[in-house]
Amino acid sequence: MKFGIGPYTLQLPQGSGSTHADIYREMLDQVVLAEELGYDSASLVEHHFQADGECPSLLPTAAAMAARTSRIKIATEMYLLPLHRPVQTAEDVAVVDNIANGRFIFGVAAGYRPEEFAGHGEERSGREKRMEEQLDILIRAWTTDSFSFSGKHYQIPNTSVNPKPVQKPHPPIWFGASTKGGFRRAAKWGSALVASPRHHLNELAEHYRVYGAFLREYGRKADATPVIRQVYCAETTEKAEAESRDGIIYIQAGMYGRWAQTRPLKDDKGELVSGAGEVTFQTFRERFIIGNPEQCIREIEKYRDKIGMDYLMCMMQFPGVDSQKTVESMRLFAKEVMPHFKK
Amino acid sequence: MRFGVGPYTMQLPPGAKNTHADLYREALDQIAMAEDIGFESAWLAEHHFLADGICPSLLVTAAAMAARTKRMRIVTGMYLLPLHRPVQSAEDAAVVDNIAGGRLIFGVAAGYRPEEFAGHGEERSGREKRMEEQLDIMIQAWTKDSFSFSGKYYQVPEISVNPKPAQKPHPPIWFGASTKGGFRRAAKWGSALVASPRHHLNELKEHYKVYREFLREQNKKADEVPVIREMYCAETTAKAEAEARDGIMYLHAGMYGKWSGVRALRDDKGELVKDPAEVTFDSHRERFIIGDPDHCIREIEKYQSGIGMDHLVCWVQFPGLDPKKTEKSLRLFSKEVMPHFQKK
Repeated sequence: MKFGIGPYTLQLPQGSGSTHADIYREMLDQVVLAEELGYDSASLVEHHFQADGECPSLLPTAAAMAARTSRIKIATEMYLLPLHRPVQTAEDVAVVDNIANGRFIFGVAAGYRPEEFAGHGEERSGREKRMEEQLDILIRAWTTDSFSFSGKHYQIPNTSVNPKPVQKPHPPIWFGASTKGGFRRAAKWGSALVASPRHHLNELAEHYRVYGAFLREYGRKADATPVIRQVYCAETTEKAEAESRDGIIYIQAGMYGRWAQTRPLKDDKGELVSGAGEVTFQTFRERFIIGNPEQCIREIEKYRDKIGMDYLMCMMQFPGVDSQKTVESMRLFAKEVMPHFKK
Repeated sequence: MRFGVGPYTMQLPPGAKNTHADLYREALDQIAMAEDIGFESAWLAEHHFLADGICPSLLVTAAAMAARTKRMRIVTGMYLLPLHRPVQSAEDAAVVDNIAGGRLIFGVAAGYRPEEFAGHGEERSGREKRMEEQLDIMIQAWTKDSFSFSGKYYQVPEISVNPKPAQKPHPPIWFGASTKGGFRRAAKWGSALVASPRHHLNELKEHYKVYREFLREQNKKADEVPVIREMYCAETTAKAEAEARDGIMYLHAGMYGKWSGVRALRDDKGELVKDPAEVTFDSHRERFIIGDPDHCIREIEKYQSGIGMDHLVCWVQFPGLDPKKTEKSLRLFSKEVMPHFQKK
């Protein structure tokens, strides 16, 4: 089993005493520590135009993470491909992979928030089809001396993208997806499907069943079964809950709940919620890996046994939670939980 | 007088045994070292689609440079604004400024190579006008809670770009320009004009004269007079020339000479280069600050008295040159040349 730190969101709740510069510095320091503690990767999530400054610039931030580390993988979880232009994306990813000396994992998703498409001047409709053309362009840019492309959405004259990525033929491409179409695309590209923290294990079991069937249909195999969960570890489960609760609800209600009309969200009982007001810590508690080390171990075993999870992406820095507390949780988790799965 | 290193271009000449990953690692190590020995800025240049892999991703690389340093300013020199989209540029530059703890200087230029515009699906014509709309958009994005924009080239619906840059109101915007229109734009925005290594001091004198007239006309003041020069310092001028010559010619003949049809290049006598083959070390020698410490001091003084230079950006990463040699040159320069200008 592998363990990653992140995805980091780099959100600064309103009224907080610190600054974004503080948050980026603390994040980079945490990532360096994570490498020392034996975590396998550090990752980032992308959103735009949020009042709390959630990170809109994944590849620059990934480059900073790569520059401060030497062994762990650096991953985007997820880069919202259709918001960007493919040639610059190919160039930026290749440079990040060089700065990381081949340690980059390129996680992609289609995006969904209408404001993000509008603000970047891109159409929201057709984003999945654009994404496939983009992947086609990226792979040609990374693997051929020069190429041209004439698709439905993109036309590119003869172009030679350099430098090439360090990893040959190119960095692994992972998919974030929650729909049947998304599972099919992930399988078609032979990409690992990254499970979102929005979903309960019961939903994920269904997702991986459908995705597994598509993989068989396309004759593909994925290299990992990565799951993103909010993780917080303390000496007692009460303490873990008390310290992480507000930060987790900030994300679960303030983002996934608030955006539930654009992208459906289900509570632990499998009921659709209509908005942030219906999202409480108790109604979503089962999807958080929060507690003392034994509780964390039991929760992780459920994912391993039910969907074959072999990579846990631990979202550990919650908005508004003191970085020092997160560091304590990271240390305890590395000391008491990770060894159980490395045996 | 301030001293910087760069612009780093990360070019790997054909046949080189090392890799781009080596170049990036060596450059990041070199920048951290340069900070330790007194250099105050680190610079990057942007181009696209070149076989030697010249760096196409400035803000990505700038973030890595920021993460490895604590005090020095990180400068894009230059970010080719019209190749990019303004909202993402505003977001990326703001994030880099946060990673840098407020040390980003956002240097911009219009770009000129037709292939770069075509490959990115942008029009080359109208790039200067687009650039001005982009700057307008970026400054609104950086300084307003939310904004919308309706211009000739760009329409942006009401959005709120966050995080804001660490610097208030926003990172300094510097201009790279070589034309009258460019000098006027730089002056209009109150931006420092960055002197390109393509130009002889005699050309720069004329550039700054025109630019300073525009500054007066616009009633603006620029904060610095930065000049980029190839710099290489060794115990003797003969040794400096021998070690730096090939790498410098790679840049001057292989880029500026080769592209002289798109963007005019003059030799030391002021003659227009008509054939790239005319570009030799000797025909462009006067614009390189290459030599023993005394020679470097005398050359720097010419720019001080000639155009009021107060920030020398030392281009030191010559393609194909062993970074250990570059480090020696930087250390000698820091020890023997820089103190001469920091006395006062």
